[in-house]
Amino acid sequence: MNVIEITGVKKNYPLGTTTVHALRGVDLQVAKGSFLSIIGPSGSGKTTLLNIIGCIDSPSAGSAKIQGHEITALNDRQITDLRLHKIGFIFQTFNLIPVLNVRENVEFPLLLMRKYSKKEIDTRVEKLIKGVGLSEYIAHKPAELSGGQRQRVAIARALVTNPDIVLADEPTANLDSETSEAILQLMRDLNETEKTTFIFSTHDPEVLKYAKNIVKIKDGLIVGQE
Amino acid sequence: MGLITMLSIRNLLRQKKRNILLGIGIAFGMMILVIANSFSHGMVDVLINDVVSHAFGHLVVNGKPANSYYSTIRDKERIMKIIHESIPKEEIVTIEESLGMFGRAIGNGEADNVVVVGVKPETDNDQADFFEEFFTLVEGDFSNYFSKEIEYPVIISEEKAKSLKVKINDTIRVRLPMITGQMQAVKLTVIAIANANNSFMNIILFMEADRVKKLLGYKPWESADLQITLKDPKKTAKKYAEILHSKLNPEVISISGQVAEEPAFLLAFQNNSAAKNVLKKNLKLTQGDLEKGLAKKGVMVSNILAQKLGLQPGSKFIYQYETKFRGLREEKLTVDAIYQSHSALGQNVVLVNEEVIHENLNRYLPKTLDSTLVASSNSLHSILATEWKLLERSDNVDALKKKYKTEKKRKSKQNNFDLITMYEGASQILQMEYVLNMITGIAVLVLFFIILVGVINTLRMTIKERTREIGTVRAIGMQKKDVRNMFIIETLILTALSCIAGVVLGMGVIKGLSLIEFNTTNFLSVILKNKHLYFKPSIMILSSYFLFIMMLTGIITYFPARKAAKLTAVEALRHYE
Ligand SMILES: Nc1ncnc2c1ncn2[C@@H]1O[C@H](COP(=O)(O)OP(=O)(O)OP(=O)(O)O)[C@@H](O)[C@H]1O
Ligand SMILES: [Mg+2]
Repeated sequence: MNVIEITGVKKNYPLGTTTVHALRGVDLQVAKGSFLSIIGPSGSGKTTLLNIIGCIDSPSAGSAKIQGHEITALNDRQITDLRLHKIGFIFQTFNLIPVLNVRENVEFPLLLMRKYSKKEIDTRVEKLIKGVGLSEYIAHKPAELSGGQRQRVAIARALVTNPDIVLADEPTANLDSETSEAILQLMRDLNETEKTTFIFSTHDPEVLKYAKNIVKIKDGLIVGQE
Repeated sequence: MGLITMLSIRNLLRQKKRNILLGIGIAFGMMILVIANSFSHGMVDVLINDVVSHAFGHLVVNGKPANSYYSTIRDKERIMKIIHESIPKEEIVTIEESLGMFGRAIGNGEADNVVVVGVKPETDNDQADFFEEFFTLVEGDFSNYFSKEIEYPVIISEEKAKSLKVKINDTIRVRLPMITGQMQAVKLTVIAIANANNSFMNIILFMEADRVKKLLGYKPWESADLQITLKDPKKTAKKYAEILHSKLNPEVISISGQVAEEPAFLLAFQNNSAAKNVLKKNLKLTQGDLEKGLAKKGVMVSNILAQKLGLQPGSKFIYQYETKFRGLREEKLTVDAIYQSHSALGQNVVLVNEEVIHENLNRYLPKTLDSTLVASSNSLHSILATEWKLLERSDNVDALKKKYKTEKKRKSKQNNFDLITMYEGASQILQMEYVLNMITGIAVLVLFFIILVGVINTLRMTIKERTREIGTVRAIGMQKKDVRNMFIIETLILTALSCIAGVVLGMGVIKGLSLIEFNTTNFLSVILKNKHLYFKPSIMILSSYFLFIMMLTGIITYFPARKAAKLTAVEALRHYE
């Protein structure tokens, strides 16, 4: 079963008098439990594609179905709700909330859901923090963590809601190679144990060895898939 | 605590410097507001309860002939009774006679204008309070105020003592007009030099009320203006004015007495053409001249009475009646006309123009006015004159002045009664309230601008700095309205805390300022109460300001916060500075 079905998606950005064609007609199906890497040179449209999959941007043309929901048909409140429940984000720049400590950052999406008890939240959050190896840092603020530790917190936050898809746009670009490998290994392990679908972009060929599937993109078009 | 509120508080603590600065601004504005408001509130309190109530009264009953300067209420007891019937006892603080007059005083070789005012504290307790609260003694002894050995003991201000060059026990010669219109010269003895705590009052020579009353020529049963000091004047002055006004209605002049042992009634008709026309239609003359009988000095007698006493036009006779305070009164009258006795008026009747009787009636008040003699349903009742004219109530000082101007033109000896509240009589003083409210209004404006500029600026900076964060939380799944509320709650908490700090600060400043003693006697001392600045914070008003400021902050914050929340997640995440 496909969690993502994208057909003929185009994305145009008006830029002054011209138009930038960031995506020129992309078709992509992603099966549940995939560990997919999107690779391509800078400016090829990776981020644009991930944003559309992540429902934080909408296509100029074409259709994008996430878990069977046609996102172009939903309003802002519904899309926001969809993101909260179905999608986890991992950012290149980590994007933790600076005023919250590790525990609070991780539980943040669960609190937004407003449906779990304090006990349920605590159990889930502590398990995930332990899973990313940060139990000792549970009360630390993001400013007191290293880059790798921050990204682990971000991974825990992305997974805390048990999403169908986790999207990571160049998750290791700001990390050294050793830490990068550890992060990717962690994501891969979670993909195995939790059966979560992972899609991440990269332009680092080193990273590719962790990928189960690879999509190559160039100038807004998919040029290869393996 | 909700997630949104928690985030707001954390974020508030994050940019400490900026928020503290804004907080200080708001707190400062609120402090000024508290001080200004408490001050103006205190001032109004002083004005209404001290200045107006002492110098004027919240409600004044004034009774005087249309064109006289002095007020004379001829029957104090009766009017007092009406006052007590109209206003509940617990609403009245005092009822005092307004005894005062301008005069020219000569001290030791120096002359100056003064006002002699009669004040009489009722009980021993009041006396101590009165002197203590009202004056600051410079020299002398207040107890001589009541001394029997001294004929006219007075308290004089330091300023006046200086200008008249007088010391304790010196005499001041004053020439004063009496209510009768005569001038008289009296010698006053200075028993104390003391400053009234309100510099309005420093031209006043204070003397015991009874002595002033006698000096002015009032009879013991008469009274000057009655000044009523109310407990809650702002609320009740107008209301009780209306009630009292409705009960001050005069009776028609119908006096029972006798002419040469024969019981007879004296009725007075109104000196106007409407009343005279009614009489012309209804009365049949048997002897004499009707025009003469209806004229200003006109006296008419019924043919039945005339027959019994053998009266002819031109005959002189004496009408006798029992007065309330002065025994039997003999009114000398001359017959102008004799009319056919009219069933509506009765048989033994002397019918006079009101102007024949008013002046003497005021001085020789009849024991009773037999108003049942001519029933009010009677056709001729409407032509009967009344013992006084009750003037219409005036709403403001201009209406009052206009009313007096018309009354001055009325050539009548009839007494007028008028009811004046502080809103007409002391409107100039009360106008200070508007000025004071304006001060508070300006303080509100200042605060408004601090909040407007401060909040909007701070919010703009905050939103700019946190745009990527907004993008993050929106991507994760926070709804627009939560993002918006986060910013609103943040500023509301800051404003609320600052306002509270401002109130505390303001109270502190007020406490401090009211401790300072001012020893000034110049004009500025008007704003002082017992030599201190007087503040009266109103919790009601301050809490409504608080609510108003919170609402204002909410409104001011709403639009930028909503704009920030409207950013799409991609736009916000891409934000780069
Ligand atoms: N908001 C925008 N306005 C105009 N052009 C844009 C905008 N966002 C992206 N683009 C353009 O769209 C194209 C694709 O950009 P995108 O960010 O998807 O590339 P990418 O593959 O993620 O690149 P990188 O590897 O450098 O992150 C680029 O040519 C970029 O300049
Ligand atoms: Mg990119």
